[in-house]
Amino acid sequence: MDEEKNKTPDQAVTRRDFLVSGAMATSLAAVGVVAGSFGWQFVYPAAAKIPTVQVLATSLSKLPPGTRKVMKLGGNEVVLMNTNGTVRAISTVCTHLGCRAAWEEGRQQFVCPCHTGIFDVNGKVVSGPQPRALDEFAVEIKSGNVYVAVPQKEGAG
Amino acid sequence: MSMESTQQVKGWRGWLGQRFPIDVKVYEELAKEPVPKHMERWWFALGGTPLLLFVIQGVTGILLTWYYVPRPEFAYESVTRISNELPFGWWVRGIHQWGSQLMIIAVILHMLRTFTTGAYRKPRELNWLVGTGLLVVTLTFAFTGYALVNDQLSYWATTVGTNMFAEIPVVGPIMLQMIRGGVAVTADTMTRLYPLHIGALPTAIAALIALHVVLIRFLGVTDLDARERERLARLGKSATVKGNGKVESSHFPFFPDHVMTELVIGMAVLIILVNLTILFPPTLGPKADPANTPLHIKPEWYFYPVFRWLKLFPLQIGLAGLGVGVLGFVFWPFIDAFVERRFGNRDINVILAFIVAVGALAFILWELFSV
Repeated sequence: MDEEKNKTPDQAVTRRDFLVSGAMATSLAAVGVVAGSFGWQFVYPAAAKIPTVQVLATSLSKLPPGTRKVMKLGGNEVVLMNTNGTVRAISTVCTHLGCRAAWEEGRQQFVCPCHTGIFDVNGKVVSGPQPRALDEFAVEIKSGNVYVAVPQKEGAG
Repeated sequence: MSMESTQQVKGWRGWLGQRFPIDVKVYEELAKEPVPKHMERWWFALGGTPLLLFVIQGVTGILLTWYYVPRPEFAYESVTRISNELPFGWWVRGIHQWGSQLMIIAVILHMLRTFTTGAYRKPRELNWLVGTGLLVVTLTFAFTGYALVNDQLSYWATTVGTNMFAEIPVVGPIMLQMIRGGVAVTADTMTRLYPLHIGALPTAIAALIALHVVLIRFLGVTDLDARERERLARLGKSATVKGNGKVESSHFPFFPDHVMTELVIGMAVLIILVNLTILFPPTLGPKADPANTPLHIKPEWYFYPVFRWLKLFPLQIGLAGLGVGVLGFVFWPFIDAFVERRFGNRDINVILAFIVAVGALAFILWELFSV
């Protein structure tokens, strides 16, 4: 290229310059990667992985068919319901933007006040902008007790 | 005044001149730079208002940090103490709260004027980008500001506002946890938003304001009269363009004339600010309760358009619409140039500004009067 030809010897990159610059760049990149990975752990908390824990919610005798209970389990608000002997645990965290969709006994619906999201008794979307039904947690009945598997959010919120 | 001539000056001026060798006369000349006649009208002089309010926010903000405690256990109580117990605490907090609202109004009015008069057009596209950056920083200031109060509105606005990040493709969930410092809004969220509000954002806004002003000085303000006459001349309608293709226009000096206009507006803003604070002292809602979203919860009025928009559309469509709107707004000068090249329409900005302004106002009123 013309530009290359016009360069004086002073401007030309020597092998030594090239190697030194390359070594410096590589070292800096290595430091960056190491510092970045440590820094990442600092700014991106361990809470990224939330363990699921099985929590004793209540005894089956306290939740007869046709009844509901609003409970706080492992930092999660949960509506426990016994429909003809089948126990379900529905999260009240609205699937739209995370407000609390409270269970309203009078209208038999979950109502989120933030953007007026309405869910039916099974947590299915009735109306509003929310993308999906309310989350449901796995329920297990052991020796007459109701256990619910919830994400461990204790200390959160 | 060069270094050599400075050395000849006696007394403290000479002493200072040798150690801080700036040429005062150059800056005096710069300050007197002529600005076009239309700048005499107040709505062309609104750019200084957000700057004045930023200074007020800075001073009152520093005062508030002396008593505010950014921990969920103490935040609400410390704000209660500022509002109810400290002498003139309510006043400082009130000025800060109303100042933020006026700052948003000032930025929006300034941008509306810039938009409708087409002042963002070549060669000022980059300064429009800086301006949109200033709007984003101002709104982030407001959002992080009311997140710190830790009342019910704070908590749920923070929950909803940060949750929107989760919907950004690929990086969204990581961003959400990065902002919150965990999966939910917790004490770690507050200690992230606080330094953002009092450290990072002020630095960012100061840098952007400096860049904004430097670009205005480099490029000058748009000479609207000259531009219009040039346009007419191009179309051969009237007003002939002289010699070098430039059209002469009447001007007046930036200092002191334009500065006086800014000062008069500034005084009016101060009067409004103080009166608002006295007539409507700052309020505090019930303390944040993560287990209970109150029935009638709404963000501050300037987020009403977004709030109502999100109620109207399914989540992803609503957020995608917002994203497209924001990108269109930020890169508007380039879209506008394209529209003009392709369709020869130079008034689309006025039509669009009218539609958006009326739409936003309608959404605000709709939300204001709905339960």
